[in-house]
Amino acid sequence: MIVGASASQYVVQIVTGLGSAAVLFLISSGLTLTFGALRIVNFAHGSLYMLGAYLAVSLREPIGFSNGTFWIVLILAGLGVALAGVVLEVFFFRPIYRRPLLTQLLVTFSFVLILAGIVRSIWGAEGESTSVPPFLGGGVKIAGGSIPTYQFFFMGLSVAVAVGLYLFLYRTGIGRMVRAAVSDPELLGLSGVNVRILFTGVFAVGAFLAGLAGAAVTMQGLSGPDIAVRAVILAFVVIVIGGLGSLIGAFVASILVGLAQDLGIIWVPEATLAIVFVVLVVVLAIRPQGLFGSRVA
Amino acid sequence: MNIFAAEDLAAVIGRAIAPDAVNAAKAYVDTLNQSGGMGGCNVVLDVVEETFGDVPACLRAYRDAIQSKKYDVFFGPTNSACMFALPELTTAAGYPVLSGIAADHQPYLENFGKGGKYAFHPSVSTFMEGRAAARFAAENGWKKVGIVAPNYAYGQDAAKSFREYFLKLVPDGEIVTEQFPEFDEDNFTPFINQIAESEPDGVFSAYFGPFIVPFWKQWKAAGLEQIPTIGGLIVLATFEVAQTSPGDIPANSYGYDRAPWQLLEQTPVGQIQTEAARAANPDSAPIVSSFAYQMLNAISMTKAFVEQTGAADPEAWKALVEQGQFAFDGAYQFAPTPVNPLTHMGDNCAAVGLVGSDDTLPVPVTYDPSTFLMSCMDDVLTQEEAAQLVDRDASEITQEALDAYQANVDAARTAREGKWNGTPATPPS
Repeated sequence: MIVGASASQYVVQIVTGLGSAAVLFLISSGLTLTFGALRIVNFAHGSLYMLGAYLAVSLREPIGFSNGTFWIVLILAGLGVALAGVVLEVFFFRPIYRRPLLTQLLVTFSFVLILAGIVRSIWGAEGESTSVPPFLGGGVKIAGGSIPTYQFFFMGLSVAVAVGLYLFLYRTGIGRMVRAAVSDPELLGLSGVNVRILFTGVFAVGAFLAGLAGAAVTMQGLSGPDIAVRAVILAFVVIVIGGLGSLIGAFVASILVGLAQDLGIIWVPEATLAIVFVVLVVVLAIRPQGLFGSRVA
Repeated sequence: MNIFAAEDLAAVIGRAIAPDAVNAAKAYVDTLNQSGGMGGCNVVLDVVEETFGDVPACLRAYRDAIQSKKYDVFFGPTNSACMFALPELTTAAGYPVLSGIAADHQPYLENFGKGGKYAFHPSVSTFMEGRAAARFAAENGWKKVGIVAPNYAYGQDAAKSFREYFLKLVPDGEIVTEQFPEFDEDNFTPFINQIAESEPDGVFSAYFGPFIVPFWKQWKAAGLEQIPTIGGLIVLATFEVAQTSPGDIPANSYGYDRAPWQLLEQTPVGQIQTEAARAANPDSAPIVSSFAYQMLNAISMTKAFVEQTGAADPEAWKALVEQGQFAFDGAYQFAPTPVNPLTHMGDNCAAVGLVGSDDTLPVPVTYDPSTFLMSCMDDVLTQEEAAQLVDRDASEITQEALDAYQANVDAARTAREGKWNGTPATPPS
């Protein structure tokens, strides 16, 4: 018995927590990327995640959700959201990059409501879900518990995204430019790089990742368009704990938050969400810039 | 006779809840007006958007309606938290309020002093659903029970009602785990892990309608189908997800419901209400939203009040109810529905049944009617317990009134004897 539960119970919750962390990372990686490069507090990021989920639900009908077509649905949903992201960035967010934080919050939060309204008018307010492709069906027995197989898929997908983003940022020329934009976008612009297009590209990648995450989680079912708000709040908690703009920080913080959330169910089942915010407050008290953030933003 | 209600017309929690219920109510009012209205008065039912989830906005809508002095009667909203706060507002302004879609009786009883005077309950409540589920669990021999409920007013009230009544019925029973995920939670697996660890005989899950789908999917994926679960309000016409993946529903899934149409279409008044609701919502027919019956019952109760007192005077309505003889033509009974003089609650019923599939229905997920266990208020709440729960001096109600009410209850019980369980009018296909 370890603090109110058996060791096997802890093992099961830790594995499940890693599954939750994986989804959190998929959402927050795009958010931290766009914040790092564009310095915009994008509250609509959760809505892009929600949009990916609903696109996947619609694409499932004509394409199917078999072992093969499932991948096509994921990619197309991600690309659809990336396209929506480009529209948002070019027409609505670009003009507010240099505006005060409050303006950014208001504009991006407006899109939370606008996108929720659009989704409600197209898909209705009810929850939706896709079926689980055969290769992800059933559960994996661990320590006496059974973890749905798709949770391991979430973990694998998030590791693949983390590695892919790392290689992109640190092993490609465009990645170097993105990192330079994070450090000093004006200097990068003076060196002849088209920062506008670069920013649009970064925003599209962030939106793609949010859409991909949304499409993936339809396997476990959605409660409705309101998932956008909860998702963006948790994603912000992750990137603040990890350090704004830090990909490694988002990865580590996702694990921290995912585990805190799921282990919190053992300790205080009535207030699991509060545990997450306790972690946030403690981390910020010790390192105000977040675990991997730099002191000067 | 002008009636006001604010409902979730935007269908935030599903089309089958407020929109279908309001459609049915308006159609029922039209039918009523064609046959003379209420006591000779034409009835107008105005329904506005309540902005579901925004309780202050919901209360503001009612406050504006009260200030307009245009309305005689108020029907409750869709959101339970708004309904809980509403009687204080309407009673202070001197208007009667009847519960409609939302009805959480236990907090209402415990706060009767705050506006309960002019509040009347023609609809079935979370309290009744919890008790009906507890009775089902007890009759099926459950001893160790897990609870998982959304962490907001509805979920907490349903869990409280289930827990208290189950432990009363099964004194050696045990609630082995209680989990309260956030309302919009999609990832139930960590909560399911905790439930599985506690090895319950069954699980009461206060998730309802579309919100239960993620829970079901993850429950099945966790390989826990052998453990029976009772979820909420399974048959909602908007339950579209069930059309695309009915295979996601685990075996041994039961549902509690405040008005399963397969049962209500059998009572004389229920039959009329069912036809009105089907005509108003032809896309869903033969399915009728459980919430349509709640609003239709509110109209029926209002009609009885107006016709028996000749006015829309809440003081006269209160006096009538508290004399113990008041009963109205409701959908839940085969005789007039008695209204408890102490609590102002109608003797309505909730059911629990096994979830099954019927491809002939517009939404193929339904109950197996042969498995229904219907529990009425008089089955699960004694007068002594009601007196303990309600926040008022029980001696305000005379023994004559209580006797008159009991006579009505006895008549209702006699009339429904052998009518429901196992004798569905619409056999499963």
